[in-house]
Amino acid sequence: MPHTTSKSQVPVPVQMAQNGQTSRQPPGKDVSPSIIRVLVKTPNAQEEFVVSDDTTVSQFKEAISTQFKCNVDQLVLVFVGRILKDQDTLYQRGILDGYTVHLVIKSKNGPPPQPSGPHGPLLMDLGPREGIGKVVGNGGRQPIIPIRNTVPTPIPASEPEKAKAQSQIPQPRTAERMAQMLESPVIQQLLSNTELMRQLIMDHPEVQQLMKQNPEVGHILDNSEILRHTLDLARNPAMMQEMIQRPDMPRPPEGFWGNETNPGGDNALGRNYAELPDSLFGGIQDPLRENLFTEFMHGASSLGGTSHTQSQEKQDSKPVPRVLHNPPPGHPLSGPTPVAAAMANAPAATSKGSSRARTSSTQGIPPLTTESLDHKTDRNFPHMADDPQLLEDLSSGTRFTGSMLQLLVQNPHLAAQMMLFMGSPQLYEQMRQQLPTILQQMQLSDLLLALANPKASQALLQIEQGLQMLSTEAPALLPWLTPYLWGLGRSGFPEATAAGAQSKEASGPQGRGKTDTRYQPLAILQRLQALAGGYSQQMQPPEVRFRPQMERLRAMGFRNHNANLQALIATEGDTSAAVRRLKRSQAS
Amino acid sequence: MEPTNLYPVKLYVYDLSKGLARRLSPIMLGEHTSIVVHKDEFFFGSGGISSCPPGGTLLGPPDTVVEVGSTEVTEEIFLEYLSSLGESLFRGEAYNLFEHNCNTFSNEVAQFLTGKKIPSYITDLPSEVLSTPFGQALRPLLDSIQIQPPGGNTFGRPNGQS
Repeated sequence: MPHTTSKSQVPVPVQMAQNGQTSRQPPGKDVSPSIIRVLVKTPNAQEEFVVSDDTTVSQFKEAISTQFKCNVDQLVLVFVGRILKDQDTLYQRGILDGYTVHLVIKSKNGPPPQPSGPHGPLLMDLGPREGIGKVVGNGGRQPIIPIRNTVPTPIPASEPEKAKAQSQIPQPRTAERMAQMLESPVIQQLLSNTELMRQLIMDHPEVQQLMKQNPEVGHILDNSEILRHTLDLARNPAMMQEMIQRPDMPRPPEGFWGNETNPGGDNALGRNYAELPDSLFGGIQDPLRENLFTEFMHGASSLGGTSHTQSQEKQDSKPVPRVLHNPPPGHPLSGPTPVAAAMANAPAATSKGSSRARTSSTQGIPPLTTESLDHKTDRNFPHMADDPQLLEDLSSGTRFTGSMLQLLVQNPHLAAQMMLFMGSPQLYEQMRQQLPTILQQMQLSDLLLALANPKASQALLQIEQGLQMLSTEAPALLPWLTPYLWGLGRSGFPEATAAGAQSKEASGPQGRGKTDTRYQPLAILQRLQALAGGYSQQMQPPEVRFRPQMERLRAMGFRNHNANLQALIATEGDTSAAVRRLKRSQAS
Repeated sequence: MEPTNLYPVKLYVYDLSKGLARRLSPIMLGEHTSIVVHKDEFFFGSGGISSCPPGGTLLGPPDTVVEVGSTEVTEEIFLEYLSSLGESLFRGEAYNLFEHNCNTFSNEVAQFLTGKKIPSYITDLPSEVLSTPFGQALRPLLDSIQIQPPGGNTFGRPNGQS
C-alpha cells in the first residue's frame, strides 16, 4: 500500500514504479528496499534527501525540483561522472547510503557561451551577457573592461538568441538577486560616489532627525573617509562578513584601552573574548565616530547592509532582552522602562565612546528609570540602582537601538532564544509580552532622545575603566570577568556564567548570573557590588563606596589606587583586612 | 539504453618549482593544476575560473598529466556547472593560496566529472606547508598571494539566470 507520508509537499505520483513505494519515507521505517540518505550537491548548496533506493531518478528529480525551486527539466544529476537517466533507480546506478550526487541546474536560457579562444571574440561574446550587470567569477577584478561601461545600455549581441533569452528571468531568488544587485557595476559605481550617497542619506527624513539629535552624525557624514569605508563595507559582502567576525578590524587602531589588557583577548576562545571587548570598548572616542556611523548607516540606510546589520547587531543586541525582563510584571513603567533598558543595553556594547568626562556615576538619574530600579531589586537585581544611568549612558546610541530593534523584529526567534537563556520562564513570559510594546515604543524618537544622556555614558566609561583596572590589577578576577565578557556578545553560555557565578557568589546572584550574560554593564556593576558582598550594600560603585577607606589606605602609604580598590572590594570595605591583603601582595 | 559518450578527463599538473614558472608563483605552492575536458583547460585563480586551450597558459605544457577518468557530462552541462561554481564557491575573491586554490578547484571539478579525486599529494601540499613552523610564520604573507596564470580568459555568466 502506498505510503503517502513525505517530508515536503512533493506530489507523490499516483502510479508508483514497480512496488509502489513513495519517494519519501520517514527515516527509521524499515521497508524492504532500503532507505538511503543521498546528498545532493550543487555548486551553491547541498541538501540531504532521504529516499528509498528504488526511487527512480525522475521521482528523485521531482523531489529535488521542489526543494531547489526549479523545473524538473532544468535538473541534471551526475553521479560518478555519469548523467542519471530518468528511468533508472538510484539503486541501479549504485547510489548507496551517504553518497553524493551532483546537481546542475540549467538556466532557462541555455549555457553560457563557450570560452573558446583567449581574447577578443570571446570578450565580445561575453559582452552582452555581462552587460546585464553581473560580473561573475571575476571577484573584484574586471578583466573584461568593456563590460562595466556597457552596463546601462543594451549591447547588440553577437548571439541574439542568448541576449533575448536573458530577458526571461527565471524564478526569482531574492537573496541571490540582492547580492547580484550589489555586485552589479551600476550599484558599485553608485556606492563609489560618496557625494551622491551622502546626499541620499541626508535626504532621508529619519536621518535628518538623527542628525539633529546627534551632531556627531553630521560630522561623520562629512567625513568622506568614513563614508567611503562604510560604503565599501556595504558593497562588499565578504568584507562585511569579515567585519562581523572581527569587529576590531575596521576600526582605527587607536588602542582601545580595554582591548589589550582584556584578559581574554588572546584566549583560545579568543574569538569570543575578542569580539566582546571589541564591542564593549569599541566605540570609544574616535573609533566611536566610525562606529557611530556604521551603526547609523545600519539604521538609516538600507544599502546592502542588511545582512551585515543583522549579524553585527546580533552580537550587540544580545544585551537587550536581558534588561527587558528586569522589571517585574505589572510594573507601571515596565513598558517604557524595558525600552530604556533595552536601549541602554544595545548601545552599551558599542557606543560607550560617547561618554567623555569621568564622573562618578549615579547622577542625574531620570525618574523614569529610577522607579524601574526599585522594582528590579525584587528580582535579584538590587544593584540596578546604578543601572538607569548606565542604561541611559548605554542608550546614547539612538542609532543603535533602532537598528537593534530592527534586528529583534526581524529575528523574533533570535530574541526568543535569547530570552530563553534568561533562565526563568517567568521572565521569558514577561519579556515576550513586553516585547511588542517595547518594539513599538522603540520607534518613538522622543524615547530615544530621553536615552541619549551624555552623563550616563560617562558613568559607563568609568565602569569600563574599572573593569580594565580590575583586569590589569587583579588577574585573579579573570574567572569572574569571564561571564561578563561572554555575555557581551554571545548567547548561550549559561554554564560559564553559572560557573562564574558559583565560584564566587552566593546563590542569589546565580539566578541572576544567567541573565547577566545579556547585559554586560549591568553585570559588571552587579558583580562589582556583589564582590563587595551583598545586596544590602549601598548601590554605588566600589570606588564611591570605599572612598573613606581608600583615603585611609592612601594615608597609610598604599599609593596604588587600583590595588587599594581591589583589596577593598575583596574585603568588602574592611580597611584593616585590605591593609593585610595589600601587605601580602606587596610582599609576594 | 542509448549509447552515451564518454569524454576523457585529465588533470594537468604544473610543477612550479622549476624553470620559468617559478617567477609566477611562490615556491611554496609547488604545483598548479587544472582540469582538461572537452578540449579545454579549466583552472581557478585569483581572477576566478578561467579557461584556455590545453596547455595554453604561460606555464606552457604540463609537467604531468594524470588521467582522472571519463565523464558523461556534456560540455553544455559542464559549462553550466562551472558558471554556478564561479558564482558561488569559486569567485575570484575566494582565492586563498592555502585553502581554496587551483587544486581545490581541480579536485572539486574532478569529483563532479568522474567521482574521483585528484591525487592526494597535490591536495595535501598546503597543509604540509602549513604544518611547518616556517609555513605558519609566513602564512600572513602567503595568504595575500594570489596566482593567476596568464593566458586564460575568465569564465562566467550573468547572475540571476540560474
